[in-house]
Order: sequence, then C-alpha cells, then structure tokens
Amino acid sequence: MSAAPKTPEVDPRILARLKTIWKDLPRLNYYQLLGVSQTAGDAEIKKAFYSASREFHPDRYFRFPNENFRNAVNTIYKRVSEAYTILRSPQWRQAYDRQIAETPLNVRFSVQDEMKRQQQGGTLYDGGNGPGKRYWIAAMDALRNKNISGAKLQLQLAVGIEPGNENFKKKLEEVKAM
Amino acid sequence: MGRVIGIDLGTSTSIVAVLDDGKPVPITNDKGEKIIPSVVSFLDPSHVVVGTEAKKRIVIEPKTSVYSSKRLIGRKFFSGEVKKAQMIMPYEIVEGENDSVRVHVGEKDYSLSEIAAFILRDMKKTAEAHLGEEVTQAVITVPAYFNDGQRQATKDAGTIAGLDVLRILNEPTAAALAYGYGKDLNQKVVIYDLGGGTFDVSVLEIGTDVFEVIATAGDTYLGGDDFDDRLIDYFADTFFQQTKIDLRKDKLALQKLKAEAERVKIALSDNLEETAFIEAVATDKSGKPHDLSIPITRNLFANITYDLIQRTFKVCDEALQASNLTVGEIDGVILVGGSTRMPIIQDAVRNYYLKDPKIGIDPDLVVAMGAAIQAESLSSGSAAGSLLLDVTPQSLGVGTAGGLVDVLIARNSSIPTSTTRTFTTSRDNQTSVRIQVYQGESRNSAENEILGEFVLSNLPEAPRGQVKIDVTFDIDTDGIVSVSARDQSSGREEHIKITVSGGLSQAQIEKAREESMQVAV
Repeated sequence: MSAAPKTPEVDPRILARLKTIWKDLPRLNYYQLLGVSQTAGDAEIKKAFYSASREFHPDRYFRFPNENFRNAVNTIYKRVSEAYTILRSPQWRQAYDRQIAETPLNVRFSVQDEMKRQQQGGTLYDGGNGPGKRYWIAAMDALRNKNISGAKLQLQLAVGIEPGNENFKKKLEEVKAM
Repeated sequence: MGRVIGIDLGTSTSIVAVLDDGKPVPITNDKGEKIIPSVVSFLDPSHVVVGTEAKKRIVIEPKTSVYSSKRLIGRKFFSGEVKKAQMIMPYEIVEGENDSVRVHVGEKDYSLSEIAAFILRDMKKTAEAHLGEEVTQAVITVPAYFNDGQRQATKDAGTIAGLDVLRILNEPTAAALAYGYGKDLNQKVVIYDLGGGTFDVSVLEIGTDVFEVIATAGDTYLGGDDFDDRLIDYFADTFFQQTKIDLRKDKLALQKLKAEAERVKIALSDNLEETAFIEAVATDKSGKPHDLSIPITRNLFANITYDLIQRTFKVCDEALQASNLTVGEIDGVILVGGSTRMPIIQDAVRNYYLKDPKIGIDPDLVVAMGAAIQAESLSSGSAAGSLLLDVTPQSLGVGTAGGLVDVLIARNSSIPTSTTRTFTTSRDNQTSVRIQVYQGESRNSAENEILGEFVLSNLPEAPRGQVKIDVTFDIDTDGIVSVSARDQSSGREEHIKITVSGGLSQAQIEKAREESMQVAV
C-alpha cells in the first residue's frame, strides 16, 4: 500500500482529502489530522471527529470493490479514532500536548508509555540518570522554546558523553530531521 | 444482491429481523413465534430441532437438549462459568483441545460455535421463508462486554451456518439504533441491557446521523438466569425443610423446578404474589409422592435478588464514570432485554437514574431490530445511513516479565483502532520472542483473560536489544483483535494469527460447516 488510493467512484473532494492525509499521515499530529487547533474545546473536537467519521469511516466504503482503497481508508480512520480517543481524555490530552511540544515529530501517543510514566512518576522521555542528563534537560528546554539548533547542540553533547544511550541518539536523529 | 438480516443471538431467546419498507420488522416463524428459545435438541446425530419444540424436550431429553449455551461460547474449560455450568446443566460439558469447551451429545463433541450455528440456521430459514429468497449475509449481535474470543466464536458460528457475517454488533448499540433511528433525537442515553445471561450498560450520544458510544461496561456472568437460580434455591430449600427431600440431587425434578421458577418470575411481573406448584415433584423414602407448593411475594423475590440488582449498578457506576457524565446529564434510560420486564428491576433503575426508564420498543425485540437497520445500512453501502461509532469494552495488553500486563489499547477506545509496539530480544542471539495477549483491567496477567499467544520466530542472531520487531495490534469494527509484525531491519512483514486459546482454526470451521450442513434443522 505505498501508492495513494485511487478510485473514480468516491466524492472527488473527499478523495482529494484522503490523498493528502494518506501522504502526510506519518507526520500529522492528532490536531492536524482532525483539522482543529490545539486550543480546540471538547465540543469542537467531537464535531471534527464526527465530520471525519462521516467521510472516512470504513462503513461508508463497505460495498466498495477496490480493496487497496478500502484498506487505505481503514488505516486513516484508525488513526482518526486514535486521535479522538486521546484528545477526548483530559489527562491523555495534556500528556500528548507535552509530547508534541517536546518532540513534534513524535505524533502518536502511547497509552502504555503514559501508564508506565504515571506508575514511575518520571517523565516520558527520560534520558536516564547518567552524566549526559543535564545536556538532555537543556535540550528539552531548548525544544520547548522552539530552539532547534540549540537542542541539536545539547543533544550532540549528550551523545558525546554517553555514546551508548539509545534515547539520546534517537532524539538527536529526530531533532536533526526537523 | 440478496437481503441482509439482523440476528439477536441471545442466551435464552433469539430473534431475526429485516428491514421492510424502511421499518425494522421481527420475523415470525412457521409456528407463529417471533421470540425463539435458544435451545438446540438432537433427535439423532443428523436431525436437530431448535426453539420451542427443543425447549419442551429439555425435561424429556435433558442429555440431548442444549440450552443457555451462550454462557459457554468462547470460554475456557477451566473458567468458573464452565465449572458452574457443569454442575447445573443436564447435558454433558467436556474439555476440547487448547482449554476449549465442547458439548458431548450422543457420540459426538460439538464446539459452542457449532451449537450456535444450529440456532442461526433456524433464524436463516425463518428469514428465507419470509423473504422468499435465499439469505447469505447477516449482522449478528453480541453483548458489548464480550471479549475477543467470544466475538470470534460467534462469528465462526455464522460461518458454520453458511452466513457471511457482515458485522458483529454490540447489543446495546443495536438497541440504541432501533430506538433513535430516524428520530433526530440529540440525546445522551443509557442503555440498561439485562438479558438472559449477560448484563451490559452503554452510554451513548445519539445525534442526527451519528450514534456514538461514549463508554460501555458489563458483566457477562449476570442475567435473568441468575434470578431464576435464586428462585430455584428458595423453592428447593423450602421444600427440603418441609419434606427433607433435596431436589437438587434429582436432575429431572430440578429441570421441572427450573421451568416453574421461570414461570413464577414472569408471573411476579404482573402479580404481587405467586405460588410455585409442581405436582408429585419427588417421592420420599417410603415411596410417597410430594407436591411442591410454595408461595412467594414480589417483595421477598426482591429481597433474595437484592445483591444481583446491586451488582448491575456497580456496572452502571463504572460506565457513568468512564463517560465523564453525571446522572443529571443523562437524557434518557432505555431498558433492553426480557429481564428488564421485572418491576423490581424497573423500580431500582428509576431510583438509580432518577428518571422513568423508557420502554418504547419491546425490550425482547429491540436488539434484533437495530441489527436489521445496521444490516441494511451496510448492505446498501450508502452514505445516507446512520453511522455507529463504537468502543472496545476491555483493555488490550501484553504480558510482561513478573506476571504483569502492559496496556496497549485502553478500554473505551474508539474502534476500529490500532497501535504499534516495538519488541526486542532480551538475550544475545535470541531467535524467537513469545508474546501473550490479554484482555481485562487487572495489572496482573493471571486475573485477565488470555486471548492467545504468538511467537516471533526466525529472528536473525544478534546481540540483545538489536533486533527490533514492530508489532501492530488491531481492533476492527467487530471488536475482533488481529496482530501483524514487521522486522525493522528487513522490512519483512507478516500477519500473525493469534492462536485464540480454544478457538477454531479455518480448517476446523470449514469441516464443521460441511458436517453441519448434513444435519437437518
């Protein structure tokens, strides 16, 4: 399923939107996917979810012959319902907002990580307690202030002092890609 | 394309419905009945009867008449429910492969899916006679709180019955659809669904064209049967005090008592007092026959079932909490399931929700009617129908070291949905990883239901932590779980079949379908 879904029978406006979302799916955060601002209230999020459901719910394409197309719609809709599940929960939404502020490319939320974080009382993207910790914290601060180059510098220092720390390396790659 | 039917496959009764001129209509069978007892009775290995005739045979042919089998479908042989059923059911319940449950009749072991398939074939036949054409597709309802194994087993039953199951639909969701269909309600409603063997509560927001389940909770071990059991206990205890004869040791007498208890329960819905009466139910040591004649008031009935009713409200609490709503924000309470005809239930529901429950549509028929609406909507494939947005009733997780569970998809998540988790090796040169999948709310894996397990094998030899496998867990619109895996380094993708413990393989389903078709229903 690498190609964009193609079919002549769908409403052309919906098809155009499907194609755009399909292409951007790995990068869209939940707000962008639902087409709402990050300050949207619960009612607005619900409205956006309903509207996306009317367009993309698999039941709408139940009798559709093209299986690739149906699979693509299904993939998109599963992300839509994931977005709604997280954004309609005040606790998860708060944690998700923190996540995309720190790591904008990390657009999916993990309930598993969040539950672990709550159990441990730590932060989700803990870099560990090694000597690189202070650079890590400085990098996170820089990210929050949208200072990408600063974050990159701090993370390079962190990786230099703890070359074995996978979290540092992963985060550095993410920041480099920004 | 033929018509698609909606089937409410209940613990005690089943109903089939279809959309006629845009209206959901429960179908009457050739005996003039809409509500068909979910009983399968074997006349011989190649001939079964279903429904009222089969129910009558429970007393005459207890070993070959299978009832309340929905209580066993998708269960593990060693579960409490199965142990309990073994004690009270007159038919033989035996262990099948992989902890599964089989019903032994005559010379043959039947899976619970095969038993349910006979009921579905009867429903199919009734629908075909009504429509005058062959029916090959259906929407089948299940309790919202059914887990993956129970849903899968129900879907398999459809396949064995020769039906293409378009959707496994949650019963309360179906009821809400029938209730709100075409009414432009814009309400938040609670569906209180007490069936023969299961209890569900769903909180829904009904909009113009969208029916959204906000939260659902349930107890698949609680239903009208339990109220019958309390009456059976009361009558048996009282009879023992009077005669020193223990009816519970006499399976035939117990069957008669069960039928009478059900009759008394129903009578107590209209009358404040009723007397259970069975002529010459048992004989004492001297051979003298004794009649059972014991009166009971509705008040006493309420007292001996008080804890059962309270259990339903614990579930109601849970659903309300999960929906972030208060009782005051609920616009309506809808009663579903034959057991909600009991005035003691209606009074308790009124006290809990502080409003009169609605009984607009027959609580026995409403689920099948909703299934028929959804069936039509799916088959027409039109964007005009109402959209049902449902949730998964139980959390999905994987087992971790130390007997704990990590939740991957939380309960009440919107479905369909999926999540991906990266698994890695914990030892050098480890070539396989075993993953156990659970459903339930406990932190301890042992207290949850194991759905099954799978093994990621043929991993390349490498230092620990280097091999990374992305495993995607999917829950589809039927609430059924599937798993696929992708090796990060090779990009090799494979769909993994979770061996649902106790589930049937494709080959077994196909074989069962062929064998089942040889049996006349």
